[in-house]
Amino acid sequence: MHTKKSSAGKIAIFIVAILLALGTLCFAEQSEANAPQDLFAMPIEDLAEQSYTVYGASKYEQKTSEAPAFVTIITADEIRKYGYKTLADVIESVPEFFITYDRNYHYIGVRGFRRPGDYDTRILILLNGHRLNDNVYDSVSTGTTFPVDIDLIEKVEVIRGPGSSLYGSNAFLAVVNVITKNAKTLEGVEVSGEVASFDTMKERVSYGKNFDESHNLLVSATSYKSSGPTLHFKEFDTPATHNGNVSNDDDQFYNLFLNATVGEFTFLATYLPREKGIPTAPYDTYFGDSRTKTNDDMAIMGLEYKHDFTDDFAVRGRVSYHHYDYDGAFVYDDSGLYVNKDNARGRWWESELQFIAKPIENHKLTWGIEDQYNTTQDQKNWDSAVYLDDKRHSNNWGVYIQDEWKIFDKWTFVGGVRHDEYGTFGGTTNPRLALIYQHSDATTVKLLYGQAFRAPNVYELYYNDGDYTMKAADSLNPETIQTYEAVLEQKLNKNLGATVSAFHYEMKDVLDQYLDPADNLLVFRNLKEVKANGITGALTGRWENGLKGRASYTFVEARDGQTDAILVSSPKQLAKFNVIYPVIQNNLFAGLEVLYTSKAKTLTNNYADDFWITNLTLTYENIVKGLELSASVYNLFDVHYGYPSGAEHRQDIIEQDGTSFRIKLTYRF
Amino acid sequence: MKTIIYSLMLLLLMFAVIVCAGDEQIQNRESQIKAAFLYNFVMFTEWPADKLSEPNTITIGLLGEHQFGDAFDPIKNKTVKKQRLNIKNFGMFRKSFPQNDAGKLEFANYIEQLRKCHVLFICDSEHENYKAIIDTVKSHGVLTVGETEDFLGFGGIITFIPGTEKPVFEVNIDSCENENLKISSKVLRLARKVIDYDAPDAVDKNK
Repeated sequence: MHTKKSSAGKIAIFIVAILLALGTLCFAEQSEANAPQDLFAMPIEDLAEQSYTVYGASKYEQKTSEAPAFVTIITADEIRKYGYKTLADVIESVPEFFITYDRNYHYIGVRGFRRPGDYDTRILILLNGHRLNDNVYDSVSTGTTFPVDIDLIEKVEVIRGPGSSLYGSNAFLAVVNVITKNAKTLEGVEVSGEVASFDTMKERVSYGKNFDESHNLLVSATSYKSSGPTLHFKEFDTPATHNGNVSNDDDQFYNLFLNATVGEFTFLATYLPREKGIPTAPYDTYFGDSRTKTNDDMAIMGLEYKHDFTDDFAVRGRVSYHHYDYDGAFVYDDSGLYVNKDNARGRWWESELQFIAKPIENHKLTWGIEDQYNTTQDQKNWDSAVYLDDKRHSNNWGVYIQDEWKIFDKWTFVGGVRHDEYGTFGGTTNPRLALIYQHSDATTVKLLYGQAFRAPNVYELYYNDGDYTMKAADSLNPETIQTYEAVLEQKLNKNLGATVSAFHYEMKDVLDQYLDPADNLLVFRNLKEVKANGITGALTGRWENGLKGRASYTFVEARDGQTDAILVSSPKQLAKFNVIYPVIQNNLFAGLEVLYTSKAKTLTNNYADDFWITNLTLTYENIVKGLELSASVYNLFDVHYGYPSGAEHRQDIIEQDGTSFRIKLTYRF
Repeated sequence: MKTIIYSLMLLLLMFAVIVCAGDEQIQNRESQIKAAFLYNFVMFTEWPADKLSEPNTITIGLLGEHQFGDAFDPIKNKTVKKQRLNIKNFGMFRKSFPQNDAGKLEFANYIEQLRKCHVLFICDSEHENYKAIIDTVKSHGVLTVGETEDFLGFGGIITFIPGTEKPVFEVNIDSCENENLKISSKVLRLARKVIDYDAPDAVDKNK
């Protein structure tokens, strides 16, 4: 694999380098909290995009500067103007995050940590406050499997650091809270159609209606289909395997979505089944057979209740029912082709009751109880014989309390603790402490400590393929992480805000596969330790003419606690540069994104080369009232790059797409 | 050890920056955003010529128990459209005045001050007085701005919708035309709804 940089690419790199130099000089990121004088200087269009609050860091709405974490918010406006196609694209633009894709699922890496073969179990993803991680693999993939169409996302809040003191399991490295649109943000009829490279088509129709202040409804339907590119894998370049050429990279989904508010109740329902061809021939499957594919169906029905008894006492309740079906089909050649099937069935109820009160002056208490009742956690694997037919159900619950104490005028202390009980391993208690010093509207310092855990999931506990290559672990302990972090948020002038965050974390009992010499079978064990140090500098800027942007640089060293070796799939450096430039005020916008990822070690101790990716989107708003046209070019300079793969692949590095295009037309009336 | 040294250096840097930074009040962000909107409404509204010939000031009036604090400080006495910007706090709406000559004079003066405003922000705490307030300033070229959903039904011109994540507002273009105000399309384009109550009974229905 080699990296190609054109001269225009070098210019872009130069611009980024200057911005980053500036960024590291002053250190940097302030997501949304502009000082008041900047609000007055801001173009009215940007003012309309300013968020009143942030929700996820403390489970109640608060200002970003008051949140006990380093928070980044990406809005629907940015999603449109940068041409993001999936939630994974959004997350990739967030400082400290990186994405990998194995041509089936997208995986999130953050702060130098991503274990190949892991299904994003260490990041909690919420949808309007409802937990999404499934109850078999603990995952929510953020590519085309994400259960809500990207066009229906109003805001993505990314809260770094451990969140188990409020959210329990999975809130290990970060919490991502996805907030959907409702009829207040999408009113009337909206139709949208897009065509893109690789025979890709997407259509959507949405309808939002506000009956009165507290009764509204949004319904939406989406269809997506892509044939995918023809790929070449040098690992399979033999005449017997079509010289390594393969075309079954097809991807299709549809999405049905409903969001309704009736008084103090909000109801959410979403369903997204996806079918994906797998071109990479993982798990030693037969190369190039289009029957090798996965189906992922996720459905959520959630009900949320909010009631404020007084200004000082409020209750929040939510209950949701989740459905997750995974159906994998894998074609093998053993003196004749046959299909091996791998299934998972997840059904579960999630409920939470939370109270927020200000019992005495300067204290804000949040406490609650959460329960997850897993009615079905089944795994099955079979072809001519049944190798696995494991049926489980379980229950786990947690109680938590957090106090936000305004010690003095400018000093706030946040202390929280949560206890969780699991049928499998017992109990775990996880605290969080934060000291926030808000020197002025321009300057905030946060000192943060937190501990988090991730419970072993049923896949890690019970999956075996008939003791062919893998056996069940049956008993595992939760993984733990301790994180120390210091964050400075500083307004530099009326246009620029900067954040610098330095962090150190230590993971223990990290679950990893181990080859048992006794029987030569793979099994999950609480094996690994990880230690990491890192620093991020980020800048955000907004100018009067409508120009806005952000730039960030992250340096992180994540090492194996036992061997001190740099982790696999852990790029040491990330740089991100995003800018929206108003070419014609209020009408034509250019959204430019440049992302740098440094080299990353592969499982075979090779390296995937570093790469710069440039994406450009032009958005023309209100061609006639309500009509919007956007045109995007992804990987503008056709850079060849790839990601380290998991052990199930013969490929050490999975190559990604070259230049691709998208045209999108949206009409609202 | 290296980590600790780096962390200490970082902390030192943080505090150095803090010492350099100015001291500013912490305010309610929603109010700050609304304040900035009121300022933008001044910039993007055209008043009839006679309204601007008044003694070189443009006035934003604030009525009710608002949360602005000193949110307007950055633009106080700023020059907008060659006029000095004045922020006038009326407090709660006064309905009764002493029934004597002094009281009558005070009343007339109070009414005149309200009518002189270019923009009048009426807080949700004045909900029960909407009709009285809007009737008072009617036909005096006042851009009335509210923050409840029913505000436009009383003849108010712009209202912020409560309970939203981001600023969302609606415009009553009829009332706006009746006051001879021209709101720029820049503002109208951002409005969630531009309401045209052409039938007079439509207004009554909303009362």
